[in-house]
Parts: sequence; C-alpha cells; structure tokens
Amino acid sequence: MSRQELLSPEGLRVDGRRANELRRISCRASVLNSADGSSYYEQGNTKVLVAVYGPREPRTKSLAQHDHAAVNVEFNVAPFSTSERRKRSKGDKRLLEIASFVKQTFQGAIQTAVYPRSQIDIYIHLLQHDGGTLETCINAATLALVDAGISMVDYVCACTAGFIDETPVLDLNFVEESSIETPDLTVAVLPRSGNIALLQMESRLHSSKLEDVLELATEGCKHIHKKLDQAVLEAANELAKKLS
Amino acid sequence: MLGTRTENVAFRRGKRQGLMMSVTERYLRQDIPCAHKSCQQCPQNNGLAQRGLPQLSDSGMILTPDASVVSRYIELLEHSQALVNLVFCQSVVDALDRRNRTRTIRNVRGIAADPRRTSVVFANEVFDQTHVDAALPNRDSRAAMRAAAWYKEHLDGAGQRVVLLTLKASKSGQYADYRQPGVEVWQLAEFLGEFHPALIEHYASIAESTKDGDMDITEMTPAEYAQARLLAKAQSGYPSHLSPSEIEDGLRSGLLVRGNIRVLQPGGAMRTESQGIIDRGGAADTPDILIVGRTALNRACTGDTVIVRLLTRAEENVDSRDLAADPDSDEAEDDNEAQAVEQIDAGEETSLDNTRKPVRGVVVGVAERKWRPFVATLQLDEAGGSRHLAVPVDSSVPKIRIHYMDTAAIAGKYFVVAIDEWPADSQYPQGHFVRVIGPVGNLDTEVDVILVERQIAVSQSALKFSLASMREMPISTTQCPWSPSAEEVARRRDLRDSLIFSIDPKGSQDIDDAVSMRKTASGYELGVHIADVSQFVLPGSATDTEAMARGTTVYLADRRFNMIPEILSEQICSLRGLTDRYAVSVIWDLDREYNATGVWFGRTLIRSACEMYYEQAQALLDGATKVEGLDPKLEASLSGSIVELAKAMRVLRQRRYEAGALELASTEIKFTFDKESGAISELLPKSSLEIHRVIEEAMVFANAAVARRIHEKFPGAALLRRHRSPDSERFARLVDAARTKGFDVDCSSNAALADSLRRITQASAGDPDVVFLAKSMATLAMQEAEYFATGDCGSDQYLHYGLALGFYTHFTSPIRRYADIIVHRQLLEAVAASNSELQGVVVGSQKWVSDTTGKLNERNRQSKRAQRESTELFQSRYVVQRTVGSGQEHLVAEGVVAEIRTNGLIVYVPKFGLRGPVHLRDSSGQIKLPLSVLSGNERDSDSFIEGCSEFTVDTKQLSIRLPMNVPVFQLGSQVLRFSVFDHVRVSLRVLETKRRRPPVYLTLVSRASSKANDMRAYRSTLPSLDKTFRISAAAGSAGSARKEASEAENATSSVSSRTTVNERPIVGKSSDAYTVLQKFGEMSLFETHCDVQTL
Repeated sequence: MSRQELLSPEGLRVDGRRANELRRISCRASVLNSADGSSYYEQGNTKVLVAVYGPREPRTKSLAQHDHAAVNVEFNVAPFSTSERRKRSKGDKRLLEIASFVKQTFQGAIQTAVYPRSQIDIYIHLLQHDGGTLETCINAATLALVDAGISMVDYVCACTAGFIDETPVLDLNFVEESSIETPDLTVAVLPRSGNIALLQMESRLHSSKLEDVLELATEGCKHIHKKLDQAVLEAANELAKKLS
Repeated sequence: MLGTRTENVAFRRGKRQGLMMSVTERYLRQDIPCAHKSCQQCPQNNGLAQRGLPQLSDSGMILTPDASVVSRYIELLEHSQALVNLVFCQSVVDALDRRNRTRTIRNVRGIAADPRRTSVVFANEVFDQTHVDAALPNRDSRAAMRAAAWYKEHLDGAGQRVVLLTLKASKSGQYADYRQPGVEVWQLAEFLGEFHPALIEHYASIAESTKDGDMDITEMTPAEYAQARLLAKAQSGYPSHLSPSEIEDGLRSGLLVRGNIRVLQPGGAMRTESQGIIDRGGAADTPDILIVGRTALNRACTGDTVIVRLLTRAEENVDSRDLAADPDSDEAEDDNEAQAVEQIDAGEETSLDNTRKPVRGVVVGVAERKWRPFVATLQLDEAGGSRHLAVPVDSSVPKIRIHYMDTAAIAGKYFVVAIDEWPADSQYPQGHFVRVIGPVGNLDTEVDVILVERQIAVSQSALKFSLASMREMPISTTQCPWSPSAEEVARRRDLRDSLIFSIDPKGSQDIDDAVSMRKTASGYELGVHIADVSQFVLPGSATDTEAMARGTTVYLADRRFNMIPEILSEQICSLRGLTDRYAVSVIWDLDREYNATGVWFGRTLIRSACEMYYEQAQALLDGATKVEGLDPKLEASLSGSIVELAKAMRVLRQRRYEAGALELASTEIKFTFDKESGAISELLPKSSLEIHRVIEEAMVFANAAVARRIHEKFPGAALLRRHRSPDSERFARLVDAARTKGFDVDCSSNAALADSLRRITQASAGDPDVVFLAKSMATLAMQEAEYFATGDCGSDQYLHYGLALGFYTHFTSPIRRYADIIVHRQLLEAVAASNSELQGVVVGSQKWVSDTTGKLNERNRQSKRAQRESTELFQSRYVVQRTVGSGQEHLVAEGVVAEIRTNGLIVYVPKFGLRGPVHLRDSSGQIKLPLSVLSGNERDSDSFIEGCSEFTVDTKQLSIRLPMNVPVFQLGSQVLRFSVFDHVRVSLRVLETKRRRPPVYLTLVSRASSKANDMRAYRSTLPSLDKTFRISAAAGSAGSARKEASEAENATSSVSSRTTVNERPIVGKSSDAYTVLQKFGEMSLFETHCDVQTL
C-alpha cells in the first residue's frame, strides 16, 4: 500500500503511534443472547465477534471423547471486512490455519477434562480487518469463553509484535503487517504463569532480535490482560445488577 | 498517551476494482515536539537529538512550505543551502505519498536529515493541536496554516517569525479565508526576491521547466486526483483488441494485414519509442510495416503473429502520440545502468536509403502469442514489497511485472519468468516467477542462460541422456569391445582391404567420415565413407526421439551437448583407425578428367587404416616423409592417395567456382584454456590448410551425389538443403563500401559476385582484413541456407546459391546432425539397404519430412545463436581477464572500420574475431573524440578533445572537424575522416553491469597505426595458403563442418567456436534504418563470420 516509511525518523508510525504502543482496545462480553458466551472485541480497526456454545453434547457420537471435551473452532471473515469486497470459501486455507491456531491455543487453556463426552464450539467472525487477526481472535475468544463460564487454567492473551528499521514494534496494523520485510510474531501467554500458549511468526527475523520482540509482545499481552479483566468485571457487575 | 482517534481516508487504485477507498485509523497525540532548539516546553525535543535528528535553530524565521511549493520546487529547497529552518508538515508528505511522489519524499527526508539545514518534518497530522478535520474544504492548506499558526503560538515568547510559503497569491489567495494570526503568508517568488535574491534565477529556471507538468499537486484534491488517474488510465490504456470475427472480416477485405512482428525496445537517440516491424519481404506492393509507439504496438511482443491496420498518410502524422509514462515512481524509474547497456547494444544506424519507406500501421489484434519462458534479472525498486519488474536478458522483450515475496533470494540472479497475460490497463505484461538459474557472472549460470534463452534445454543437467535411451545402446567396454555381428558382415560390402583413412582435427573422438582414393584402370575410384549412425538409431526409439528433438549437437565455446549418446558418437559409430566399423559409403568411378562415370551407394564394412590429423595430412601432401606419429610403412601409400585426392578435389572445386560458387569469409575463433585455473589463455583465429579444403570438397561432392539419389527415389519427400539467391538490394552496403576503395561489385548473379570478390581479394592481397570484411559483408547480405522437403517447392528453387549446386543435402555428419540421419535413411531406402520395414513409410512421407525440416531449421538457428552467444560470453570474459583481471588498463588492438553509424563506428578486430561499437558521440550529441587520436598514446583515450565540430555522417564516411587550436601535423588536416575499411587502433573494454554478462565495447585510440605489432602478429597467424586455393577457397563444405565437430571434442584443452551469421534470416530487403537496426541488434558483435558448413 503506502510506500511511505512505516516508522518515521522521529519514531512515529503511520497511524501516529510510537513503537511500543498498542492500538485502542475496546471490548464487551455477553453481546449475544442466544450463545452461552459471547464477546465483541475491537483492537484499532480490527473488529471481531465471538460466540461460544457449550459444553454441549457432540453433534456426532464420533466426536465424543470419554475423558475430555472436544474444542471446535470455526473462523469466518465477513466479505465486507476489507475495503475491497471479497468472498472467501469455507475451505480457505488461511482461515483454516487461523482456526487451527486458535483451537490449539485453547485446547491447552480450557480444562477440557472437566467436561468429558462434550463439545465446546467457538465461532469467530471477523467483521473488519486491519491487521492482527490472530491476536484479536484469541483475545475475543478468551473473553467469550469466560463469559460462557467454561473453566480455564487462565486467561489467554495474545499480542503481535514486529521489527521495523531495527526497532521492535508492538501490535502491527494492516499496513505494517502487509509489508514483506516486517516479521510478524504473534504470542499468546497465560499471564499469571507467564507460560506461552502460542508462538507463531511470519517472515524472517534474526535470532538475536527475537528476545527483544518477544519481550515487547509479552508486555503487550499484560496490557491486554488488564483490558480483558476489566471487561469481565464489567460483565459480572452487569449480571449482578440484573440479579439484584 | 494516545489521544483521540480519527480516521484517515485515502483513495487508491485497487487490484480488481477501479477506485478503492481505504480507511486507516490515526491516533492524535499530545506529545509531538516542536523540535526547536531553545524551546523549553517540549521535553521530547531531547529525544530527537538522541535519534540524531537536527533541530530548528533560533536564528532566522521558520519557513513552512505548503504542498504546492514542496511538490514543484523541491529541487530548489534541496539545493539552496541558504534556506534553513524549514518545517515540512506531515500533511504535505502525506499528500505527496498519495500521488506516489516517492522521490520527492526522499528529498524531503534528505533535507530533514541534514544538520546544516536545521529542518524538521513536523507530524502535524497526528498532533492533537494541529490536526485538521479531513472533511473541510482545502483541507491540506488549512493543515499547513494550522501547523504554522501553532508554531507561531508555541514560540511566540521568543518572538519567532513564522512564514508560510505558497505558490498561491499571498494577498487574495485561498489562505486569506482561514488565515491565522501571526503567520506571514508569502508567495515563494516574492519571498525569495525579498530575502534570497540569489535564488531567484534558480527559481525561474525550475518554474520554466515545471510549467506544463502536473508537478504542483495542490491543483486537485486527492479524490479528484485518484479519479483523474483512473480515467487517464482507462483512456490512455491500450486499446482493446478486435474480436475474432472482426479480424476475419478485416483480413478478408484486405483492410487488415497479418504478420509476424519484431519489437525493438527504445534505446539510443534514434529510437526514443518502442518500434515494431513486420517484415513482408520488402517488395514494392507489400512494403514492410512499421509500428511506432507503445499505443500503436498495443501489447504486441516479438515473434507474435499480429493483425495490423495500415495507417493512411494523414493518420500517420496524427498518430505519433504515445502513452504518457506512468507516474508511478517505480515504473518511471529506469536505472541508468540498463540504459547505458542498451545504448551500446543498439548502436545507431544511419538510414542508408529511404527510397522504400515502410508503411505505418497499428496493431489491432494478436492472433498468436509467442511467449516462451524468458530469462530475466530483477529491477530492484527501493520501496521493496512484492511487486517487481523483471528485466529480460533479451532486450527485445518488455519488462515483466511479477509478484515475488523474497526479493533477496532473486536479486543479482538470473531467473526464469513466464508471461501470463497483458491486460489493457497494464503498462507491462504480467508474469510469474518460475525458477532461479543462478548468480549473474557465474560461468555455468551463463551457459544455462544461453540454453534456456535459445530453448535448447532448461539447464545443462537436462541434457544428459535418459536411462531409456542408454538401455538401447550396444555394449562396448574396454574388456569386451563392440564388434560387428556376423549377420551384418555378410550383408554389407566388405571394404576392409581397401586403403581408407580419415583426416580430422587433432584429438578428435567422433570421426564421422573417412575417404579413400585409388587409381584404377580407367581412372580413379573415390570413396567417401560415413559412419552408419542409422544402423544404431532406429526410427521411433528413445534415442531417435531424443536426437530429433535436439536436432543437432550444440557446440559452445568451452563445451558441447551431444545429439546422440557418447557411446555411439565416440565409440561405436566413430570410424576409428584399425577397427571394423559399419559405414555408409559413396563410391565413384572417375575417369582421368575426374568426371564421374558411375556411382555406388550402400552399406559397407570398413577398417580405417589410419586416423590422421590435418597437420599430418598436410605434411604428406607437401611431400614430407617421416611425419610424426604416422606408421612409416603406411606413409608411402597414404601420401600417394592424399596427393591424388588433392589433385582431384582441386579440379572439382575449380569446376564449382566456374559455375559460380562463392568464396565467403569464415573466421573461427579458438579459445584455449588454462587447464588449472580455467582461465582463457589465448584467443586465436583458426588456421586453415589446403587439406581442409580437400576434405571439404570431397564432402560437398558426396552430399551433392546423395542429394540427387534421394531426390530420384523420393521426388516429393527428399530432404535437401538449399540456399536461396539473395536480393541484389541487400548488397547495397557492400557495393557502397567497396566503391570507397575503388572496387565495383557486381552482384547480379553468384558467378558475378564471386568474380567481384575475387578481384577484391587479388587487389588487396596485402590486407587480409579488408578482404575478410568484404566477404563478410557479402555473407551478411545473403539468406540463410535451409533444409526443405522437395515437394514443398518447385525444382527451380532447389538451388544452393553459395555452392552453385542444383542439388545439395547434408549427409556427411550423422553423428552431430539429425538431418543427416534422415538423409541416410532415405538413401538406404533408395538403394534397398534399409534395416527397418517401417522406415520407408516415414521418411518417404512429404508431410513428415516437411514438418521435420521446419523443426530442424529452427533447432539449427537456435544452436547457432547459442554458439555465437557463448563466443560472445568468452570474448567478454577474456577482455575482462585481460583488462580488469590483470590490472592493465588498456587492451589495445588493431581494427578495421566495418560500418559507419550516426554516432560512431563499428570496428572489427581481427585478432579477437569480434566486432564492437566505437562511440564518437554520446547520447546528448556531444562529440567525444579522444585525445589519443593526436598523441597515439592509449593512456590519453579517456580524455577528449574539446571543441570538435561538424560531425557529419554519410553512408561511406564520418568526419569530424577538430578545433583550430589543436596541432594536427600528424594528421595533416583539420578534418578527421573515417571511412569503411580504414584501419584504426582501439581499446577493448567491457561495460560494467550487474544485470547480465558485460558486453564488449571499444574506444578509439588512434587512426591507422604504422604497422602495429598487433597487426604483424595477426598476419603471421594467417596460413600461407596455396595460391590457387586462396583465390578459390570454398564457401561451403561438410569438411569444415566435420572439422568443427571433432575439434570441439577435445573441449578440455582447445575448443573451437564457430560464429555464424548466414543461418539467421537477414530480414527486410529494404535497407531502411529499422530493419538494419534490428539486423544488427540480432547479430550483435559477430555477424562477420560465415560458417561455410551452413551453406
């Protein structure tokens, strides 16, 4: 897209952020009544809606496992999510890849052994796309799972970081992400233990730089954790208000 | 820290749809520093200093140029050191970015990084206090004003003056509406007049040069601009092609013309636009069609079959407009390097005569694309990204737009690109990356490039023989050598008792011919025995299929790629001495006057008495005894045979010359390699002995006899070789050049031409280079010889012009040419000695033979070009090695002016067998005459004489007037003249390039030297030829062909390289500038060599 520098000599990014700043995050749990848990999550211009169903009886018996719940993730992108309207088929490899990343992340984080012979469905819908799809999906799914009351080891918070002009850069937007030279590292951490649930990178990055970038991303995850916690608290308050 | 969030709207051209709105978010911050040195309020100013960015100084006023000033007068801002304390608003930079003005942005950044300029880029767009809502009218101007006003407020305490520079009138201009207090608005010109009068002149010159362009981006809003570009694109994109039915109607009614197009990319001063030529033979009723400009070419590429509408005279004048260059910076950005190369390559051409002007046309459709995989290198654009331009090695191919992510992996490498499509709205064709070949400059890579470009193979390793074909091979090992089967021995005529011998270059492995000559009662018996390849290569076998696909063995300067597996070519088929071998023989009974009284064709079994090499045979012919390496017992009988053979061949050759055979020039350059380092140790023109011509003549004799025989048997399907008589107009150049030396050339027939050439040879006996050049010009003018099936044309068209024979074919080198294998099969069918039932059906089918000859001609042409390119590659490497590699600055050699061009000369350097351009005028028209012309010292060849004038060129002469203050006592005249055949001294150089193999070019050192050492050295290498042979030296024979084949055998030590020209079509009979340009583009440096074998 823009040929302009992604990080100006003055240290400003195309959207006015500095290298270590996250985009604005706003999120809300319990946005859908029909689902067991749901969330709406915005990180800059990337907007995601997640619905969680379950634990419930598996659709087919073959999916049922005797000692733990099956996690099923479906990821969809709205055709209007980018300025050029584009319909994606269900078999789109890119979508399946993201779904499988999310699934792997949550298979570890959800205490699946608590729900044997059941299935947990996570439906993710990307409404607007402006970079950082995977991180927003994971964060939104966490919120929705918490909203559904599914027992988890911890929150899962994800954040991306890149490396532009010898500087680690937090939370890439679409313009930054689509530049070929920018490595794009997505980290999902369990904030309390600091364990990493997912680490995924595109493009190349010199190994000596990885630590800095990883550290920055982990730092971002902590901020996101606070945001999510706040949203959970709000939802709980709201519920409490209704109950009282 | 992030403040309010806004959205930034931009318009861009989408991938699929036309115009696309892209919305990005933007955060407004509070912490944008003013970057002023003495400002105490902005703590972040320290951060800027830490980043090494300059700060605004507190002396003088702060200048805020708006978008109109920056976009149009960036050059002024950049170069005027007096303008300091500039504040470039981010809104201005963004506006430039929206117009793809990458270079201007780079300049802005350059100024902001220069500590002397104390200038900054001010991020007003993301600053809460200076942000201006996008929806406001004249938003960019308001933003600039707001930024300036903020500076005024911010620094008001220090009494800072803030000036907003604009091109709009200062009083009544748009800034009047939203003027902010304290900001002085100045029009740039007035401002300069007031404060920097020294810069006014510079300002005026820029104002003049940017008057018409759309340099000032504030003329249109971003949306309008995007819209306008989209519209411009739609209008100025290529016109769409006509529908098939429209084309058919047009062709039927004669309004449209169909033809093969050749496209020349722009290069040099003569060709500022792309041009296409459709060659229609140049006759008066069908003149060649010239298509000028990209719009008119309408996406046609070289080789495509296109449909053309001819323009009327009135249209011709109107239609000269071309597409405006796309302002996309990466597309417009042509690097100088490529241009320089092209200029050297293309040279320039005087238009010799314009009597037959081609008509102009426009392409309205493409019937058939001739897109093959192209070898290309990457044009790196600094912006990175995934869209790149691939620059094909073949300069007639346009750049190709490709998508590739990992630029680092393909930069500096050759890679293969395929073109997918060329949409009407795309300046360049769209293609995709196929595979990497290897780094530029690596020898193996360069060879692979030649193979791919000439469509010989995808790589060298692909030229190994398949397992399937190896399984078909007979077994022959040192323990258990192959021997003839009893069955075959019984079937064949046994000639093992006759004295048969072979003469080949030293060290040959694949001997495909042997000869015999003995006295009989009635006269002589002459035998030519050719390796019986068809015995082993059966029709339809894997080996046969592969051999047909290869068509010919490909010889490169340092290696070769065999047509048939080595076990056949070097062992079982090769007619080695003292071993029994199968052969196909032609045996004549000659009377005492050497007239053939009878001829026998058939399969034989022979046992060559001796494999000689040329020098040995020549020694025997000269009457020497005890020749090194020969069996003394055999010597006497061999010597007798050779002497008799030579006598006979002299007579036969003389007869052919009387019939009008031509003697053409053939220089082969031999590279010798240093065994250890692989470096080229020497580059020598090959010598030629009488015995070469003897063997050649014997082969021509055999070929002609076989041609008659197979034509008898297959009147419609015989595979013959012809050489069409050329158009006399093509000889114009030779006639002109010869006239400057006082010769008349008559080219009405081959006999007349041969006679003229002979007279030139006799008259300039002391100057072999002139003779050579004259002959090569004659060669140039001729068409290439080609294979054909006899049923394809009337018998009057069978003539071989160069050899003056009514019937000719290729029979004598089946090991390295597939045509010979077919001819063998046809001959054996004709004499009922075939070993396959089906064979006759196939080789007797006119359609099959006709199709196959088409393919073989193409394979031959490609293999010749591959040879030439490989010679070019090694010549270039040699020059690099001798100049850059050895630390020497100059490689000076004697040359002869071969042609006059509008900007210089083409000089032929006999010592290295190469031709190269000498530029005497650069692309801007400046005369570049080196000082060494006066001093004669090559060290002066890089400095030029100033003040030369009167550069005049005609077809024969180029003259330059030296300035009056130059002493000219060596030259004798103030006017320096160069004409064709003049001797000059030149310095050989290579053009440094990262993109492809460096082309050789020449620079003038001085006029004819007085017997330079080079010259004597070269002459001494020339053979002392037998007088009669020198005059009547042959223009064509299989012997030389054979010689090449075997010579290339010893590829490790010495390898011959053949450079040929007359296999390529010399297109366009009219000698207008365009055809001639193309001709030379194709032939590049090496057109002078005529390979006799191809005639």
